[in-house]
Amino acid sequence: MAALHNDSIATLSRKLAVGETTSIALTKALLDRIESLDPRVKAFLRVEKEDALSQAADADKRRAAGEKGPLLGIPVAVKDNIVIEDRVTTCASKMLENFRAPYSATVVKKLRGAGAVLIGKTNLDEFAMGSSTENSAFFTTRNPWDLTAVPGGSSGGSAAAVAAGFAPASLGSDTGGSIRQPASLCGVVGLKPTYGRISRFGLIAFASSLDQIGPFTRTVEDAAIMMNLLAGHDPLDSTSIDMPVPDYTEALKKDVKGLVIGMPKEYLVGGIDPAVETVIKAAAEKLAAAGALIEEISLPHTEYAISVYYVIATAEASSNLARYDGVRYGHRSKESHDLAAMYVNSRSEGFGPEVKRRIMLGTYTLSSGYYDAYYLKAQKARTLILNDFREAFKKCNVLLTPTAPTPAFTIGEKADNPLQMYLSDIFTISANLAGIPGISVPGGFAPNGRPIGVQLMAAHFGEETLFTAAAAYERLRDAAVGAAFPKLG
Amino acid sequence: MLTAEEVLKVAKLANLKIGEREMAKTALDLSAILGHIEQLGKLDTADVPPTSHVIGVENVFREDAVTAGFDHAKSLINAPAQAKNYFSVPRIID
Repeated sequence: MAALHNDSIATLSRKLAVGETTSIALTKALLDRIESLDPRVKAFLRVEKEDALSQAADADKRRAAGEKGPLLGIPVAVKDNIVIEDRVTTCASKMLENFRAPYSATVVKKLRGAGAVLIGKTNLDEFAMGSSTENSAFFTTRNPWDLTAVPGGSSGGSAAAVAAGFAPASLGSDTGGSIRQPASLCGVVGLKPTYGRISRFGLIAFASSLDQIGPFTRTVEDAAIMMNLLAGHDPLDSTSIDMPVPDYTEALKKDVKGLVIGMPKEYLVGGIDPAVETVIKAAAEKLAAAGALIEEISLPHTEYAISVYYVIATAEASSNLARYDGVRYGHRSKESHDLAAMYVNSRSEGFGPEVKRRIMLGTYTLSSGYYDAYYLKAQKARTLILNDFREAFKKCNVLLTPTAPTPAFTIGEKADNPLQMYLSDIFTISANLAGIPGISVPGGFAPNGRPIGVQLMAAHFGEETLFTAAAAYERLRDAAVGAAFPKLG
Repeated sequence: MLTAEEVLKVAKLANLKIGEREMAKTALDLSAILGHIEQLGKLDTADVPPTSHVIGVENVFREDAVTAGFDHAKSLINAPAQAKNYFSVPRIID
């Protein structure tokens, strides 16, 4: 039997449909691969071996009974800030080291309903705060293309799992780039949908006005397959929008001829790695040759995005993480002789340095006398950033930018400098502030072999346009990019 | 640059403890980030309304219908301490 670990969902689904393989055989092959190679990659916090095999057996039974479906029997990895009933969910934090979720996230229920096999929970920066997984309380995930490099973050484990051939798809969450940036750094496809397109019920909250769940896959088509299932309204998430979900795979076949693609001039300035710039310029040329119209546009408030983000995201985090008090769940300090000591000691022992830093930053900007100067000011600046995009989408259908300013950096390189780490999210953060969808598609490699992604963004609920442009780019890019896989042995 | 006193005040508000060894680095890191954020002061936002929700959704209602919740046992599966079907915490009133 041919190796299955680099196949797309679409390919595996065809193989399952014609009986070329079974979900049990596929799941076993991937579990074996994880067992032999994940000790080096460290994508998973927990692999649910027995559970995965029983789900796979169930999927095979359902297929034998006549059921069909693009995800029936397909293994999927899940970021460890999305809850699965009766399973441990840690957020890569000591605070939740032993937390057993009493319910499942809506996205998990949807995947189970479709017959997907949930094989394990992936590593992340603690509470999704970081860009490298170096803030995980447990260990740092390695980039499968270069084990000395970070996979990006915060959904670094989910990106690495797909890149390493451990699962054809995974779930991540994106608050400031936490899906797209690791997708770029690991050479896989990563999509952050429009704010409200996917239910967040069961996603442990970081910054509620920014967080979105989205898929990692190896192909744009697979991302559309995942979105067909994941998108939609959920009464359990009041921020999810009640809008019909189209068949996103239809958008893949459309032509880019006449599509207006904007390139924001503020995104191609100093500080970008020359290899990244080369890949983006080549992408524009190829799309133009296919009939798209490339326009230079301006998003004049781009330079303020990081500041706005680090006020809003930390303010919301300080409020959301106030719930970890050692009372009903999570870590409770042994030094809990009175209630005040229990709060302070449980939180101080349970949270790592970056989480504490962000809680304190958010507490500071929300504190008496600073609210107007920081939080209100940032909310107003957020309006200006949103308006920049509204103006841009009057003139163009999609925007083309780098996903990250550089290829994957080396482990340890930015770990001691939080501000430098924050600046690595410079091209992804604006989409969260504006609530628009963005996708990262592999575009090439740096001279050192580390992957480089291309980001496309569209207007609110413009996922179909995004898929049309992304699929076209995937067909047009250097064919070697789609055929290359990390060499892990 | 934030003073140690300011850092301690924020830590207290956040129910966090900052030890003496962490103090210098915490003050430095927070100050560097706040220093970067100062750039927002350059923006004229006098006539700009704040954005709290990007899609503009307001007041999402649902039917006030009774649905099943967790029972005691399930609610308590993660309790760090429990007694008589309740969460147990250190004594509050002597």
